[in-house]
Amino acid sequence: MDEATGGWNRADKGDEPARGGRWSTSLALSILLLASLIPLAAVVEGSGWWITAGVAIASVLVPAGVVRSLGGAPWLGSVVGAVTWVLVLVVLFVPDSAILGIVPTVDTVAAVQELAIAAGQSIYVQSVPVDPVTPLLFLLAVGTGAVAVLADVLAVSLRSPAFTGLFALGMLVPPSIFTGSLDMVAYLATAVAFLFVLRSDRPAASSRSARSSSRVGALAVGAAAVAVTIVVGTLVPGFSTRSVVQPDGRSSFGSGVSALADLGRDLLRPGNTPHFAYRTTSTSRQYLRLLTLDRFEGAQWSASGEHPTVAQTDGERLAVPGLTSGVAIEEATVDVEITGLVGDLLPVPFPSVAVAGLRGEWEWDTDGLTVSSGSSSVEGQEYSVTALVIEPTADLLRAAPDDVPDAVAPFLDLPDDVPETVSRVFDEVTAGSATRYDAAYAIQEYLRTEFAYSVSTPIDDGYNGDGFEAIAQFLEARSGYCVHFASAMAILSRMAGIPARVSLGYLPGDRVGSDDGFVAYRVGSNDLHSWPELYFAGVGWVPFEPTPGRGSVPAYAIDASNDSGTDEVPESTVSRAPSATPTPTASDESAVEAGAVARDEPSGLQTGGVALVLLLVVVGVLLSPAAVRSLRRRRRWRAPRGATARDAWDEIVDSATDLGFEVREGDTERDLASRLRRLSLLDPSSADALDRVLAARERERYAHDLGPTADARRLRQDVDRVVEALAASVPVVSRIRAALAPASVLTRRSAADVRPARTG
Amino acid sequence: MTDTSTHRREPRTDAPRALTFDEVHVLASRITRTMESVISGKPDAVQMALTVVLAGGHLLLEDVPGVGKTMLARALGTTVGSRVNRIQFTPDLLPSDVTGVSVYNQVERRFEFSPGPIFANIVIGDEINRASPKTQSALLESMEERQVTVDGTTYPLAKPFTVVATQNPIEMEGTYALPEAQRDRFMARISMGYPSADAEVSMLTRRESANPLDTITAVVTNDELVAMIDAVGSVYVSPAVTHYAVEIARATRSHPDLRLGASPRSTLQLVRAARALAVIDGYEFVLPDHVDRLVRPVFGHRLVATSRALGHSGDSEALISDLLDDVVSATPVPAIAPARH
Repeated sequence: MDEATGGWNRADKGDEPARGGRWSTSLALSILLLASLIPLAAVVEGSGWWITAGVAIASVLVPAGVVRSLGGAPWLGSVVGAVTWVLVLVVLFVPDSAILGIVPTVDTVAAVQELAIAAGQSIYVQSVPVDPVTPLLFLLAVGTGAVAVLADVLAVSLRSPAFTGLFALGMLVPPSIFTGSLDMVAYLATAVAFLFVLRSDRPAASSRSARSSSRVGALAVGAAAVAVTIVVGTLVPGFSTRSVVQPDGRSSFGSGVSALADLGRDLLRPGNTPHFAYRTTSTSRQYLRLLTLDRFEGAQWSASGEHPTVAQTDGERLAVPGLTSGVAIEEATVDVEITGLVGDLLPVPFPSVAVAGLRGEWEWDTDGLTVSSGSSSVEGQEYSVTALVIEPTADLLRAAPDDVPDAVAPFLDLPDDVPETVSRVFDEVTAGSATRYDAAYAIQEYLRTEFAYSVSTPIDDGYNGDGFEAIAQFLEARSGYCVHFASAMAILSRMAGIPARVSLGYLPGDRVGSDDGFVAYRVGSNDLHSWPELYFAGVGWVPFEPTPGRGSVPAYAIDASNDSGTDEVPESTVSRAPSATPTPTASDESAVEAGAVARDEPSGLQTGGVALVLLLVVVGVLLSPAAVRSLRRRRRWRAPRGATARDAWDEIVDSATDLGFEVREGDTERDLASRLRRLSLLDPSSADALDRVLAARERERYAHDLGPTADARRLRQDVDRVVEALAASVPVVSRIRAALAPASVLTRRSAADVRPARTG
Repeated sequence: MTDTSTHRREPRTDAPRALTFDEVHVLASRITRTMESVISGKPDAVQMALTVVLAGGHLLLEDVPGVGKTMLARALGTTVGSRVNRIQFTPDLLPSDVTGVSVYNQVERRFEFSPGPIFANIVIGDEINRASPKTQSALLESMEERQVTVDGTTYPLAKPFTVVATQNPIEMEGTYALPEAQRDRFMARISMGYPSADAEVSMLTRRESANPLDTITAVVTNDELVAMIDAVGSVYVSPAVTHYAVEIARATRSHPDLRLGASPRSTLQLVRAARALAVIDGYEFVLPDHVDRLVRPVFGHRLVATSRALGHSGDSEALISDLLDDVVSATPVPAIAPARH
């Protein structure tokens, strides 16, 4: 040590407090990361996975802390932590492929790949809560360990503990999205742990600098949280990209107790994720159905499942129940490509008579004309549907005989305990309706004109359902969404003696283009919809649209020429965006995007999306030093009381560091100024500017009184001039490096000035 | 400074008037210019000499013979217009030859004190290392105490009082180099160094005609000098700079290559000298750079290198000088907020 004349100075300045601080930082970080994992408990079964996550976090932070306490540099600790983390992963998960169970080999990479693929399959197969099988635990260990490494680098090596809040947020948020609720306990625990992380850095950074760095942190957190959320979402089991990006179709309709309630939930989920795309030869806008609900027992609508089914085969045509030859019919071909929908229900227009091109076993419900499967999934299916476009006239419907065939009689069943409100509304609305069609029209018009579309009111007021009670409240409140409108109209129609059922499916979606006689549409989760279908003898089942602002009213349900004569709903009514749900408006030609026909979309959309997100994150991470640098610059110039000489000087120091000028820790302001002047051969006016900033900084820091306050704008001009001149004096490469990878981000920010101890 | 134009010379009065920093700066510049007209090519030495005088310290000039040590000391004395005495130290010089002696007055039949050459504002001690330790000690004691005690009576020395001692570093017969403890009494030690070729040529040319000292006169009065020294005392030293000076001193104490580091007294003198240098520079507050510039002159003669660090070279001066440069450049200015509201 005696020979090391260079090192004596630092060695003797006492690193003890900082070292202690780092230990407590490591501890606080561990607690923070573990706390942010709490919400995972909702989506992962058991508690064993906690141990795995804890081991992963400890494998990073403990060695890092040990190295630092032995006098290693902060960055060395991070490196050692990362290495031990990798080794622990190898030992725990792929020891067979490694030499002595610990030294990774080429086989290890393959083994890891296998594990990752297995994990992906496991995510795909499992539903929430997932069983923490080994591949998933591996993913968990990788994810939490990676976050621990990054947090350690940020909090200790870069002295920016505030940024760790970003990771905590990134780990907290995905489960919350998934479960749809905020885990307040987890949030509080994480927040407290985060405060400890900030506090543990106190010995080195005063509270003021912690505050200011957390202000920078807060900005960066806002920008990057989303990116990190998605990354962690892909890394942590339970949150495949699917679950974050799209509602899980299976959970909605396949297993749900109440299909309508599930649909409501899916509809309310924020964000519009693609479900499928189709193109059709029909010129009218078709609804696509997944399921019909025919039984109403007072509490909710359900599918009785009592209808005959036939296996689906290509080329076989089905008959449309109730349809007779007196109705104008047009045949259309609809090609569907599933892009995001999951489950065992096939979206088809009504009425469809044939489907071709499906993989797997599918069967028709011959009555509802829906297609479903007990064993296959709609995922990735591409199929062609032959559908009929029925265009009955209002007169035809009005003329339909009142007698109901036996097969349709069950569609009139209603429980006896009809609520008083419902009966009253029924009496009011249908009074004076001469025919069943008039009654149906009156009900539709009543709902369309007197009611408001709202997704929030039913939830807020507690009647978010489709049973008698909910509908009674809905009729009082006159506000709800498609589920309520469809259920209400179906109930009222049955009361009027019209066989009725509720269909679940999709609005026509967004028109994205047309070519070759086809019109292409894209359909997403926001297009989920439900509507009533009413039976008229001779025509069969015809859909109605009672929901205001959603979908379009069929032509036969518009022209009620008997008494009211109102014809205010234009034929080409398109969906208006309701207030609470961002429904994409299917506007006409303006929405046509060149080449955006559904067919042309890559089939590996999902993979591409994930790759894109990862790429964006990588780019984001690479650019984050530049972002931090620019935030610092903005913070300096945007200081509430104007930039001080200190800010101006710091900006010059940082810029000089970025541009590769030597900045020594022991420099006085004057030392640095003269070195810059010497090395960059500043022109006289820039040198004057530098002198002005220098003088202001020296006066601020060393003089008894401030004298005339430095003009913030003048300071900024001077700084800009100096930085410009400095930049001009270095090679282009240095300038690019300064812009993309500013070295000043890595320098320790000088802590805020400490108040001097009061002496005698 | 910007408002030098408003500086007014008021009629001199007996009571020294408080000077503004700007006035001190102007006077200091005048002294510097005058001295530099005599001591050509040595601005640093001139500035350091003036700094020590304004800081109320004592200066040790150490260099080989013939480089102008005495000339610098005398130029300083002449320029400030104070009472200047010169003592040529020789091995047979007695302490009483420096301090003065009580003489029996036959007429008045009592002892009278006859003050020695030390009773002056600027005392030039030439070749102090030639004096016997006993005499050196008498000088150094009075430097520290700023008073002389002869036969039980204490006589205060003049104000200001600065000893400018010269010392020949070359070991010669019959010289007694100042021990470390004694050197500590000097605020700063500087070496003159050889002049540049140009400066030497111009010196030769000018010396041909006349003694350059004859061409200069005092540019400040003694009262003004006292006022300048008083003004220096009120130069502001921020807590950051105070801590900075302490950090540097502490670094020398823990330095493995040093047997003896800087004493607290030397830190005190460092800051005091930095105040003077700040004023000379035209500042009313001390910059860390002022401290930096003074570390070598103020600390250099007080530090003792370990024999191991010295090795075979034996060049203690160069070693300590380099080492102090390293300390200065490695010590950051502590981040301490200015003590203002």
